[in-house]
Amino acid sequence: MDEKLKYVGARLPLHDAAAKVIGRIRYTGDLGFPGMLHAKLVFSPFPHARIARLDISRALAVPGVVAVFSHLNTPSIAYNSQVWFAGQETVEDERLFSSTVRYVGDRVAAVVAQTLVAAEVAAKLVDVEYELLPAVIAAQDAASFAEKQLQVGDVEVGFSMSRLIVEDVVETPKIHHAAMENHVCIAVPDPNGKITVYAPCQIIVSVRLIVAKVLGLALNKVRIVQAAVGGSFGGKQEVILEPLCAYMAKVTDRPVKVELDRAASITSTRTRTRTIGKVRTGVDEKGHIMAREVDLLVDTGAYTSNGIVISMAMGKKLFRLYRIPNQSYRARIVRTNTTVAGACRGYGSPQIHAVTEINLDHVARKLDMDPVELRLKNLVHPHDCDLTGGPSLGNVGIIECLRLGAAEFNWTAKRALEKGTGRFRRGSGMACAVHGNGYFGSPYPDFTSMTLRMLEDGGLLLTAGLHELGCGTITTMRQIIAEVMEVDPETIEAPDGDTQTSPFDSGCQASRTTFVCGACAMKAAESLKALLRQEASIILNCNPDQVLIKDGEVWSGIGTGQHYPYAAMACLIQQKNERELIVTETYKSQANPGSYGANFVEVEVDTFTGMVRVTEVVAVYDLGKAINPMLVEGQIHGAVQMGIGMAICEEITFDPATGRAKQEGFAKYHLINAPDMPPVKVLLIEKGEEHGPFGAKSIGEVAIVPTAAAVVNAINHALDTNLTVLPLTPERVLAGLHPAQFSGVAK
Amino acid sequence: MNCFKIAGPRTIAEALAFAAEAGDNAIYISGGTDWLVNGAKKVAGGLLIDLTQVEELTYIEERADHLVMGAGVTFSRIATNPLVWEKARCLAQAAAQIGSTQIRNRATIGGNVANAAPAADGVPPLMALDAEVLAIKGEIRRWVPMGEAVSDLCGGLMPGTLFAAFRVPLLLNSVSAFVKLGSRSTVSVAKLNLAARIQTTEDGRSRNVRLAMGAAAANAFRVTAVEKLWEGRSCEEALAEELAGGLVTQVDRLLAGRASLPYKREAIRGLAYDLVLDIGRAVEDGGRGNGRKA
Repeated sequence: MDEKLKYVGARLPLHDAAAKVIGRIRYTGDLGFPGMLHAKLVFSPFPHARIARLDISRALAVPGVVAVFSHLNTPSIAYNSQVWFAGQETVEDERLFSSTVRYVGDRVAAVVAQTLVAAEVAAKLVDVEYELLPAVIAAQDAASFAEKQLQVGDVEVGFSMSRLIVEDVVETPKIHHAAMENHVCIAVPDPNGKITVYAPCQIIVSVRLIVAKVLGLALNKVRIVQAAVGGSFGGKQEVILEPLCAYMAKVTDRPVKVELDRAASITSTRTRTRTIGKVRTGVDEKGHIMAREVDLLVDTGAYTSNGIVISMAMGKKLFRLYRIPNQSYRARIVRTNTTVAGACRGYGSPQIHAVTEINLDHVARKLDMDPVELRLKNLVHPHDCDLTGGPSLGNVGIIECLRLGAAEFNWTAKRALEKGTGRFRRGSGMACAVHGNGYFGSPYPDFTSMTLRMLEDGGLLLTAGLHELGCGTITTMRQIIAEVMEVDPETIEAPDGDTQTSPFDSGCQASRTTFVCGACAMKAAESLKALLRQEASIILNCNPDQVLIKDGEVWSGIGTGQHYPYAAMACLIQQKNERELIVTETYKSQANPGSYGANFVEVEVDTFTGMVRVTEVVAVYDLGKAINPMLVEGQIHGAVQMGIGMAICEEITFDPATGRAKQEGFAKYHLINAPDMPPVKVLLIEKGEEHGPFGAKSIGEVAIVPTAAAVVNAINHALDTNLTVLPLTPERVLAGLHPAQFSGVAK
Repeated sequence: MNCFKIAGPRTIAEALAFAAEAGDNAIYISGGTDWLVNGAKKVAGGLLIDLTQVEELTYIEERADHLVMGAGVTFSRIATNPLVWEKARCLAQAAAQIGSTQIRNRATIGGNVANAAPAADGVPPLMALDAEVLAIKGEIRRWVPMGEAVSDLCGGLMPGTLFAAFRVPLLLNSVSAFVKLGSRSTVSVAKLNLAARIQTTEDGRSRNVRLAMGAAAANAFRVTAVEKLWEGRSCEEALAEELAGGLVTQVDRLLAGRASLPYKREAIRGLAYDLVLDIGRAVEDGGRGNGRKA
């Protein structure tokens, strides 16, 4: 079927790449509205405190200040920032403002002024008296408020049949998403009581739901317009600034813009969830996994956020990568007085895989077995069942990933290389991963609706709740529709979502966009094609099944030779049939296969300074079918960059005494930059997935999942260590090599 | 609100006149890469004297026995200037590793020394090279040794002193090197940095050794105890190990009780090895890299 595909599989650039590159795209920060006010937030300097007194008189006296908002004059309606459908069960513990602040960076007040400078000046003049309360900074010191468990078989029986049991405790840190665009939104009130919010977000219906709840408005009085997104990676998935911004716009009856700086984006929005995972794996003498037990401590930060949901998501991944007859998972979720955790690329998957894949390499060392061989003995096969009763794993390609990647990387030869005995040591490591494709099989509904129409000039217009985060959602939808409709993707317009006009969509989350939205786009295109055939048959005086549609033209199949370009036919249908070529389709997801991947990594470690250099990465993914291989490769290159960061340098840590983040900007929070990026070789396994559009599965999230574990495994291989606290900063590497000298310092 | 005036002199004389008028409320800036990030508040009510238009501060020249450069020379220029690579190699190496390309395009050697951050990469090379800075305040103009210039920042030199130029004495058969440890290979504030200059004798031994270390104390400083270990030695691995030992002692003393001590006392060994290796490379290069050939 592949040879026939014309647009699916094509390497087309992002639809807005040119506009982005030449600086013509208008991000929310670039937008302005007549009379727009600027808001500046005041954040708590303490990790836990009661606001004893809040005096806004000095702030209000600053010329240009319009209003100051705090817990004293805003609704105390509790909400949860990650709710995206009505009736979703959750813990609601966040408010616009609260009289008790729960972390350094919690919202205390907001000053709204005619200019940003006035707002900034006045924000410093909001006088607050805090009554300090005891704070819990370390997750280990917190009591859990919720638990999630999953179990298959009987782990005790499994362990009793094991020849070897290997236990590890693996820690992953809070991580900043580091999108280039900080958090920002604009709310614009209209005279009829409607509020329009321009938000670079991931789920417009989620923003609508929470804004409407907090403001006490009907859903149709809240309009969320998906703005151009300057990067999200999950950081803009939860609803953070929008309810407050909308409320301030409503009260002041003026457009209001809120824009955070980098420090606030790091400390006052969301982070990757910190996890501490205790894992025990039992194997027989041949390396078959007999039992595994994972006990996870999940630090969701100061508010519940997605702590419970992500804990379930992490647990499910454990049962979909290896054939493990006896396995138990328990997550204890705790709140701490630190920055709130939330969605972050992979939604817990990079963390849970770091826990298990680092442990699995430890098992391999203890067995004196090659890590690839150990994995090949245990990996899942196509159409395996999920032993917990979840959806089928689908057309799994992880074994192909492993074999292809090992060959390309020259794994056996590289592992046999001398590691060196001097200052610099070399090592190689690898890791496997699985991630999902939407919500099918979970408690959450997974459907989407789209309207597709053909205009009088033959062009197509897709109206859908799309969220272009920079991953190529819009280009992907255009390629899918183009393939079905046999037209150039350039003739298809597929704008970002707008709750006032777009049908419902569950949002750009859960790796569902290509798999679910793409399938809906395909269904809508097929439906439009059928409608075109039906209406054309009236014009052509034949039966619908005698109408031929080919290369953007409609032919009569009864030998008259009559044929019309789409444009002409669309006009005729308008004029003669008085009919619009418009369809609306709802697609309900029917499967949730795994997307799989394996990374092979070579590192060089400086044993004097602890510096790690990743020198080569081979990244192989089973994604069914690449709708656009160029965008897929872009996703993978970026994911590897984030994964290496997670392995060796990215972390937000908190001073145990003050609760302050130690990394409040990019001077201290280091990402892997271009000079430190290794060459990344991307290989794709494309063997098609039944329910995916043209066989496609997700890639954007699974891409990051194996990388961190593979890097850590390579470092442990190089040093003959078992380092398990991420990231492996130079300090932690040296502490691992000289534990006595570092006792109690760089944990 | 933070209101202040900005002066844009075209000559050193104009700059000094502005400074004299504003008295203690004057602050000189050049590229502004430190001041804009950290210091913008310090000038409230005062006068900011922007030196970026003063052409007299932007030369790099060889004059008699010195390499002389204006304080307004950017690190990008230093890092790409053949004369600096030839005569003051360690300074060129440091310049090439400061911040990002964008920072190097703005930041100047004068600003780096005047700001005198503990980790300032420009300072150890200048110290190792026995450089002097031309400090001007009012009628007083004098060439100040680097050690004094940096330490005096806390004392009398600032505020109101203009650093106008740096001069590096050119020595026969001398080489120099700079090495740095950050938390990644580029765009990183130094956790430790080292610069050294030696003269080599005919039989390949080191003499007249200068070794300066940054990021381990409030200011970079010359590590004279370790310089002594180096005197008379050739640049080989055994020397690296001894220097490492000497530097560890220094780090232990300077950072006693600090959380960063266990890491830095190990990591300084890596820098000692890098430094000896790189100096050795420069020696093999035929003495190119600092001063004049015999």
